Amino acid sequence: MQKAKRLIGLALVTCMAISMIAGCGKTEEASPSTATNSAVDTSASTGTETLDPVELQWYVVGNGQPNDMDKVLAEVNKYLQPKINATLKLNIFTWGDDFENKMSAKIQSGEKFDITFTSNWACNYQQNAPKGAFVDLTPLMDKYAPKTKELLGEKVIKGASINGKLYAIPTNKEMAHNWGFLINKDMADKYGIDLSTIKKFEDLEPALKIIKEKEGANGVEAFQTLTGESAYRVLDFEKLVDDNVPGAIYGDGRDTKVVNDFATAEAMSLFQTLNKWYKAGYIRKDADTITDYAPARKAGKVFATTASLKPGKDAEQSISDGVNWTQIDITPPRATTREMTGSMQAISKTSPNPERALMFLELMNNDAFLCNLVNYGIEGTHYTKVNDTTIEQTQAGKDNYNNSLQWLFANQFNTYLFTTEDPQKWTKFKEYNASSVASPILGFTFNTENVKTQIAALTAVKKQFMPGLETGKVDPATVVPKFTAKLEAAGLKAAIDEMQKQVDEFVAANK
Amino acid sequence: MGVTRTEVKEAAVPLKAKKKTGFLRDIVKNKVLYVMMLPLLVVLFFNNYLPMAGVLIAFKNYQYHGNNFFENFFLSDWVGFRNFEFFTATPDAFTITRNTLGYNFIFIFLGLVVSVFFAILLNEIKNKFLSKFYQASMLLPYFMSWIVVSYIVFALFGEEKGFVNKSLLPALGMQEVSWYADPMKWPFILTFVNIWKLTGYNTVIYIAAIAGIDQEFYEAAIVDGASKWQQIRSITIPLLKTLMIILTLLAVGKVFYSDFGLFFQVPRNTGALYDTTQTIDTYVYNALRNLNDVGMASASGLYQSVCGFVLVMISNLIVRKIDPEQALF
Amino acid sequence: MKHKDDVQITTVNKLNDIKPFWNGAFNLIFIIYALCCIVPLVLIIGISFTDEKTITVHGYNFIPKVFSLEAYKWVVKTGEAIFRAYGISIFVTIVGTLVSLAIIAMFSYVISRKDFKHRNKFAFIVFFTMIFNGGLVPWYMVYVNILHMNNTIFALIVPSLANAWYVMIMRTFYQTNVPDSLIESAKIDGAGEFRIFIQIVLPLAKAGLATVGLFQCLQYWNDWYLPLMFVDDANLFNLQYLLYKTLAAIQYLSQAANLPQGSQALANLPSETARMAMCTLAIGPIIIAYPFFQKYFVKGLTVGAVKG
Repeated sequence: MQKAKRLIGLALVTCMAISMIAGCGKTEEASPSTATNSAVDTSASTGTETLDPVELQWYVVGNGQPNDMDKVLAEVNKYLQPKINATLKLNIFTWGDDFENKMSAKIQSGEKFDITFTSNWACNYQQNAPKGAFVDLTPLMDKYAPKTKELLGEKVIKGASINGKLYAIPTNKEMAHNWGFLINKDMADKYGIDLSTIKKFEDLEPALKIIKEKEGANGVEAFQTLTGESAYRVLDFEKLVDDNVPGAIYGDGRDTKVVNDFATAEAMSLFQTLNKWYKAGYIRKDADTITDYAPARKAGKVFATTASLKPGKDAEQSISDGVNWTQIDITPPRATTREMTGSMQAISKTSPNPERALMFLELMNNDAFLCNLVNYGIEGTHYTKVNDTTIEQTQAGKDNYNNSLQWLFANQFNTYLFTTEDPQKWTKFKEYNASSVASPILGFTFNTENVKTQIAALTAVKKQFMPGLETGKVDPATVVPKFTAKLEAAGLKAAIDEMQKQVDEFVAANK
Repeated sequence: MGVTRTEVKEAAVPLKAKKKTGFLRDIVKNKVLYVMMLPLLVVLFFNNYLPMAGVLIAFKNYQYHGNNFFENFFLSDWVGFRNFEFFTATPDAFTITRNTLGYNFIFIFLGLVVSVFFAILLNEIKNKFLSKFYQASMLLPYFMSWIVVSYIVFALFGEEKGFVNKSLLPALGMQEVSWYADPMKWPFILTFVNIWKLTGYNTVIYIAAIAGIDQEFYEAAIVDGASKWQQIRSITIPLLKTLMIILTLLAVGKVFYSDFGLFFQVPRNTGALYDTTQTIDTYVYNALRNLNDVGMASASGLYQSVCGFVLVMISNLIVRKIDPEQALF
Repeated sequence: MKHKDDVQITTVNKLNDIKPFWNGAFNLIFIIYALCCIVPLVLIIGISFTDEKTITVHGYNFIPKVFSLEAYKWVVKTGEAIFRAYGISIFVTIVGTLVSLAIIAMFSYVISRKDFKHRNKFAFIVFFTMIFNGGLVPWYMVYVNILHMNNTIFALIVPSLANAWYVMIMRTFYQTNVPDSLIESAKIDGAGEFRIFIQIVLPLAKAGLATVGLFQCLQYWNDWYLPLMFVDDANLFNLQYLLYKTLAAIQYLSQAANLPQGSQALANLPSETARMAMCTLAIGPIIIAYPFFQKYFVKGLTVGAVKG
């Protein structure tokens, strides 16, 4: 035993030593292009003479690598080389685990790459940036991406910054959100339901009653609310960490007091309404065990559901579900950190050429040709133009270069529209953005460092109680007190206090 | 690695320590045997031992302020046992530990009994074609991913369209049951599902072990007039004993781990069932998936490993006291 | 005389079987159990051929109410890529299984030898890797930054080569199936270590080799994790990873109702049926390969046969 211990100790030390030698050797060898950094200066940013050729590696999330990626990249590079003497290597990984696992391994192990997609829902910006994974772009913007800075505007840049530092460039798209209902229009028309009377959450009830009576026997869910994607969102709390951690300020911006949103009077009243609806059979019995929202919707078996809205959301959703949806806005449009950080490109700390990467992003944001080339492929091969702003995909385009990532690749307002889309889409988006009210803590990012332990424990507690409440399955009068008590045992107070402290500091610093 | 170190020392100071010379001499004497071991040792060195230094991350607040993994590692602060705190911060610490250990001991015991029982029985079935057919079909559940299994369990016990609630219970004149709301039903469901899924796999091992038993033993027993039951009791089971002990010891080392798919996917991570379905692994997943913290993830693994290691060392010691031949090492 | 006896004993052995009643009872137990295992698979195959909307409305059925190949079309829609992926999977499975079987068989033989003084130390070295690991990031780093195996076929083979669990099982097989006396006598006859291993030991451990071979074969065939971690190059994707990717995406998109863009990406994806189709596709080849291994699991091996 004693010997075994010594053996292990020795082995560990040896491993450590060897891996260090090997590791350090490799990193030096692997970064020959770092030298080019200093060669880049302002005057050189337009000419190619002083720029050494570099390759930029860009990782994004999507449907996976399309078959014709190499062909399109060849075109992209023909265009890029004379401009910034760079070639692009773009990898589209797949939604969910694939992208998450690959990116966290690359970031955590310090692998070399240049640009990655980041956001608050994939390759998490709020966690990776403060840990130092991305380059701080604030000092570089004026020099290498002045047009993008102007394009995005102060509000967006502030919203996307963490402690006043911008670590990624947001995609220029809709920059606000509001909550409301998606209603199956055909069903509403069939039973003569007047949708114009629905102004707030509870107003939906009479309609649900009718649907339950007439269509319940056909297996129609009058109201769909599922774990995680539930009606709770309609309360529009501005969560400070994420949906799984208690702690938010009221979404209407009345003050900046942090509350445990799960135990507010508003939440209680919503849970009670849902519980009433559940008992009345408007919500499916097993709602708390279902996570796939799509199958029932696509089968036309859902009458109403809550959704995050934007102009034209109903049309978009109708196309994808094959059901005629109409949207009812309940909350007003609001601009919060969530939208600003919904889709962004960050430059990796390990990038050998951060300046060039930024120059490339500047081009992507402002050069409509490049942006559309990356989005839709080659004109004539993957799509044909109908008019200046509208295109139609060819069969080759549908089969071999169909990314649907307009909301991801840089400036969405520069992209072509399909013939099936509203020609006014971008104008409406711009109006929507302009009409939104900014959150009083826009740009605030909570630093979890001091209360990591509590956050972890609180998240697990939320998973235990919230599904029953947000689907109306359990009686809130008995469950909410239990829920709150357990949150408190898991360190609720420490977490809320820390949030309040950071919010107060943020507010004071931004006065 | 230990080997090379010793070797180097030995070459430098010859004839000094007798014991070490013994090791070197053993290498020379049994060089073919050492060569036979080499490929696996090389793989283990790179795949397992080199990365093992990484357990130290569990004691660091791992950040990415350097340009590569090593710089990141050295620039990150030591935080002692802070990464382990989230285990005890939860009010459920006792429940999840009880569930993890409880299920594992049930699975180890039942798994052993059922698979040895099936393996022996399969060997006695007269029709060899049927025997093979049973074997093959028992292995089928092993190929189904846990997500698929969770769909099947849901198809059985779901409240809206579940087979048990909609067809079976009404046929028996019984009331519908809210399976996904009652935690007390789940220890039985999970145990059954686990045995169902893994028995085929474990049975294969025992069938192969029985196939390897020298037929002369049985022939001698038959000549002595031993009955079938006597043969099983005094030949088959004693010869399987080593394998049973080894497999059990190996499983004991993993009692602080739980099959994530079984405990997460099959109950569909339903909060109402946590009292009997939450284990260390599902808790860690639920707690950390929003934090993405390397240090805390590493801490959970280390905690599970160390506890398992202590348990297995103790069990191995006991086994060695009784019969050194049966011990793991 | 002796020879006659032998024949007689073998027949007695055959007749020495259990009584018909017990045989029937055992058969009944296994029929019930086999049904428990087969019925869900039939259900899965049934679902995989059903129209997704029908499932939402009517629930699961063994025989599709509305027949549809949509799920399979989705799963294999990657076109030519799927053939390349099949090739990669077959190559990796064959090479991986053979190489790992060879190195596991050699290593565990040495640590099973009672006359090998340091056998417990080496057993411990192997066992230790079963309990402790350094975590994902350092492991990933060794393959990417030190061995530079990312985006090569080696990354799909090497990490699964050594498996402590199988080493321990294999060692036990040697211990119980290979008598020490046999090795001793072969040594006295002047046979070299390697010859003893190949000609005497391996044939006796066939059942063990088949077990470990089967498990490793399954491991390599079903693996999607290694390509996920180490391969960005679409030319090296194996079958399981291709299927996994498609499904993970469907699953993710059908749950993330409120992503800023969710609806756009989600065209008409079958989610449940596709999962079932993938399960069916993954089981297919294994059912074909299983009988090959199974023939080594049948009772009837005698040491005497090798000796003679």
